[in-house]
Amino acid sequence: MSGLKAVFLQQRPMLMRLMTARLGSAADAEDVLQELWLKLETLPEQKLDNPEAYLFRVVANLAADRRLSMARAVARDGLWLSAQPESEEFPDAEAVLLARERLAQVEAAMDSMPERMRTALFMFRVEKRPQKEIAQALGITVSGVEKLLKRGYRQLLDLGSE
Amino acid sequence: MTRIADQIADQAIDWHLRQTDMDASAWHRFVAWLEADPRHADAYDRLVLADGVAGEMPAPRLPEPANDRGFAGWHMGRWMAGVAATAAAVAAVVVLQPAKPDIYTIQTASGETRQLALGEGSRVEISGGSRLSFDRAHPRQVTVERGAALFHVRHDAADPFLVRSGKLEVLDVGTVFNVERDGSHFSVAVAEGTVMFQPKREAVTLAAGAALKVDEDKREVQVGKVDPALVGGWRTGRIAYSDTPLPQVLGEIQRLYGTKVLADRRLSARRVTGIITLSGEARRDVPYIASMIGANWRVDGDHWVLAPAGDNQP
Repeated sequence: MSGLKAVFLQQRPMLMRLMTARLGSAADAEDVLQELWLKLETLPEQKLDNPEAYLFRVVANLAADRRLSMARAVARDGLWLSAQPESEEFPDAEAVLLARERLAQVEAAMDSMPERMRTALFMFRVEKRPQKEIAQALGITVSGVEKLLKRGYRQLLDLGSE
Repeated sequence: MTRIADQIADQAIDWHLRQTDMDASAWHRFVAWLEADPRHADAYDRLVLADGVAGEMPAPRLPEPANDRGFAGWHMGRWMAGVAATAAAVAAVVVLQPAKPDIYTIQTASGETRQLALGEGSRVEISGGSRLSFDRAHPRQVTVERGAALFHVRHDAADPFLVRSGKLEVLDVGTVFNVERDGSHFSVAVAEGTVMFQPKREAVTLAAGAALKVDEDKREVQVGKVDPALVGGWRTGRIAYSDTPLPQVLGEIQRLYGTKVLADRRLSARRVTGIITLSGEARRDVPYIASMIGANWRVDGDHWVLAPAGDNQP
């Protein structure tokens, strides 16, 4: 068995708790982890500095992908994917509206952000650059970058909650 | 919508920003925090959704670096003025012309896909194992260094969208199209609208349903047909091949799913034609491909090996 799979088994209870907390459903969490386990089998052996942290990151990203595509599906098609599909045969109009609004709000908020904040977010989020590099590119300190990112995310988080 | 308590919002953001450097014990603390209060999980979930949308934002132009390490605070005598002016001029050149500050690259790992907005109304979906470079100053010019990308382009006659790959160029005329680069092999397939291949030279027009393949080693260009619905099929695992060399098919599978499959030398000239539906699960996909080309398969350590049928394999 590959090293990564052994680490997976050892960390499985905690990975499961993370996925369940993120998806709000133990059954969904079980499905996604099962998929990940199968996928580990096909991954070429690679040297990882910290395999535990790697697996937690993968699980967190899988949860994020799933939540985001769910929100998109709700906004786009009115699909309402819930833990119990049979109890939700019709899209919940309110949920559709909410999802649509939220996505549009985030887009609008990004557009109206100060240029520097948007650039910092872009470098952090899209280019995945370390904060130190962002600081160099913007000519500010690392703690300045951290403050900028925190303020940026805070703006996105506070949307529509006033 | 209820307002998230300040403290919870800040904690969620702190966890999010730290995530790239967290060790196992920090992750355990994070899980405990998520579970401690439903408001924690909710705040974090909203943050991740916003972050996902933010992840597809178009590239902003890079602002000029703040010149706070400049000469502003210096006090110099008059006799130094000439020297200082020269030094300032040199510094200004450095500040204004850093090495291509507007170019940035995005690289995907095998099995990973990314989406990115490119200016108003255009976006690109990037396949696994790919590397593309972008220019903040020209958001409508993209270079595909390797891998595959599906472009959805809003047409603008005044500002056409240009995709480069090596010495080859594709110009959109309003469109959805897929561009792939694997070493010396380049291909473009059009799902909607029209593109122009090599606009400044041969200017070959490709409409929806057309595909063009280039083999730079053999100096060969082939134009063929493709089902527009299958363009960018890598997104769903439904991929159409037409007379495609086996090693190229296997390379694509590794890019898409991280599955390493090697072909025995005797199979390297084998070509694949038809539509393959891949699940991303190696133990389903590898035997399926083997049966398509009439080969045997086996597992060897971390990779799969295909060999001609008739070899004594398990």
